[in-house]
Amino acid sequence: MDKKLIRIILSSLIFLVGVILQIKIWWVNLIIFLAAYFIVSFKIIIKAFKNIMRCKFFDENLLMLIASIGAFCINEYAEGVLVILLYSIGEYLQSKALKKSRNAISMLMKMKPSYANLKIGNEIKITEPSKVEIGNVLIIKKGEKIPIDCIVTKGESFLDISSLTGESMPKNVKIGDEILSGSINLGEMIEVKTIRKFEDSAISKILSLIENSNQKKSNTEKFITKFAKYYTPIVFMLAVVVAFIPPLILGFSNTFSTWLYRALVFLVVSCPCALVISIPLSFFGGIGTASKYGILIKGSEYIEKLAKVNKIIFDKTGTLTKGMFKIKKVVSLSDVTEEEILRISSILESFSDHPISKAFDKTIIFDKSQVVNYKENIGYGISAEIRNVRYYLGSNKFMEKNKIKSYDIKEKLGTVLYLSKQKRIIGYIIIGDELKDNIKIALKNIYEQNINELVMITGDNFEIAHSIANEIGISKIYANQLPEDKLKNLEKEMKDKKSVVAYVGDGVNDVPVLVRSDIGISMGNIGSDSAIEFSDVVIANDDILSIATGIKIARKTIKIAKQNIIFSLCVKIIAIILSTMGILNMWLAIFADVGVTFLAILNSLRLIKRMNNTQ
Amino acid sequence: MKVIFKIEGLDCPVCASELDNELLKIKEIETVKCDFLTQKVTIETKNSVDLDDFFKICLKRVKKFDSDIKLVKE
Repeated sequence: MDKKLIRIILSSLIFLVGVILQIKIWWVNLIIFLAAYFIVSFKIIIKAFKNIMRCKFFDENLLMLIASIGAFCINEYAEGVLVILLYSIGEYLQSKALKKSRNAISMLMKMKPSYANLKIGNEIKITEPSKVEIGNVLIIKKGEKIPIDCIVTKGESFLDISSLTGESMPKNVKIGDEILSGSINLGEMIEVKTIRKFEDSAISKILSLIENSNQKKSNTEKFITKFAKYYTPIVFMLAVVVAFIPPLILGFSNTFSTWLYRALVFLVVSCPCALVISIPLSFFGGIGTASKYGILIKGSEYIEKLAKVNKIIFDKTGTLTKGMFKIKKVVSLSDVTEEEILRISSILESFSDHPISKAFDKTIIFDKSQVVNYKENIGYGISAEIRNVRYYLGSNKFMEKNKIKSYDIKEKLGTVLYLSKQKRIIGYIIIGDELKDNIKIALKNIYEQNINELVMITGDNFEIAHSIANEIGISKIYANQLPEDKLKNLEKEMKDKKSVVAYVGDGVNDVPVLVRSDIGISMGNIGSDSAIEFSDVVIANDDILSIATGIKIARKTIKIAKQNIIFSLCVKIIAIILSTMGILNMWLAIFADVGVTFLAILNSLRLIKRMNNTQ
Repeated sequence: MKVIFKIEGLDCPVCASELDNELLKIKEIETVKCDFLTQKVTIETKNSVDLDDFFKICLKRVKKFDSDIKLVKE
């Protein structure tokens, strides 16, 4: 049992003794109550004294002391002790409630890995993660957390990646796979080689993002801080007014002690604790809750904005679609068969690293000695000579560049790659991207949050954009966008003063748009520095469903913060009015002050509890 | 250089900003931010410092400010 609690209990007991016995000898009575008083208050007296030395006169401790000493002066010994006792109990309970909230929130945010099993030769040395170098070999045993981003070098296992993405399905990993720090090894022991330093690893970035999220204060918090600065001195001055003006008007002798008492109650009410503690706590809870779902919000400022979003602009490739290209159709425009067209194209693409090449069969078997003079014109196309015949594969612009007469086929299925033999086009292949799995449900959830204005923006052609938009239910499209077009159109969408616009992209190729929008949301890419640096919200699990979840959490957080503000202010105002009218007792006032803070803190915990239940 | 300590017993944001002002009086400190929610003190020092010595200096200041607040090296 901690010292504070012991002091409180001891003091309470002595207080009760004094109240029950009601000794008529005044100085014995006084000693009993003074004893009770000093046991619980000596630390408060020291603090108040220190603050006076620093010229801090509006300190809570001092005010409580003045109030309670004032009570002693008008011979209300019991009341004086009760004031300081209730204040101490209140502070104690507040501290406990705050501790509980902090713990609840920290459990949501994942803990820093505290050690790494470094393999040197055949020995394993337990090392601090920050001391591990790139290329070091580590052992990860069953149940252990991966401390640093690495690649599997021995063994196979499956991981719990929920601390990174909120994803509860285990992820299988084998030799050669990259695994991010923060995941937990659920299977048998694996040996890995580190690819980054500890401070550059995923979990460190996520943790530092969350810890620094307190820097970006919301407007609400800024207002509360300003309010608190003015509130206490103003109430103090009002207390002085209440203490001296009415007696001056009504005659000093009989009314001074009454009004002094009321002024003292005023002092008790003058602490804005409930507001300054519970509001930051609610936002902190919001950020922590969101992080549990793999949604990393960089500051309470962004929670406020996220709650207000009424328009969302989606980038297409990589955000709405998987960003993985597939062959949709092969068409012959000559006597060459489709199979042959596909085969020749696959041979050519096997030399390329371009994302589009991934759609082709990289394992195709052919005689490499027959293929020479491979050339790639990045973004346009590739060509090579197969058995002394030159082939070109690429967009119609590529064909034009190589002086090949081309078509301009508008395909809604995807991008068209023409294949030409020598200088004649013999056919084409359509490469398309796939929609992500949960898009329709995700958009439905967003509509349910009363966000009706959804926009799609893409560099692809209008036909592709239109067909996808129709399929998923987005009515506004900007197609054929170059990067500068995207920025221009974003600003156009943001022109309406009532619009709060969120932009959702991959965080790598659309930095200017992310930065310019009211809320920049990047999907996945927790490894990418630019995504973390330039976006306001990072959805680590790359799941479109998280957008609606994030907005829901933000709105609940704001709701709870508002409840706390209204509740605290109302109770304070009522307390001030009642104390002026003489209805409010001093200890009731403390109860109101501290009780309100305690309740406000508990209210902030509600968010975490509720989100736990819906999971 | 950036130094982070853990701080326990800080329950009020008003106290946190007062502690900020108090710690700023230490000459090696450029900026300081005490956070009562994450229970961390983030300090940016003007030059690099010896961690143990610096911790002792900060610890003394904090104790003088409020004996109930504990500073812990991470």
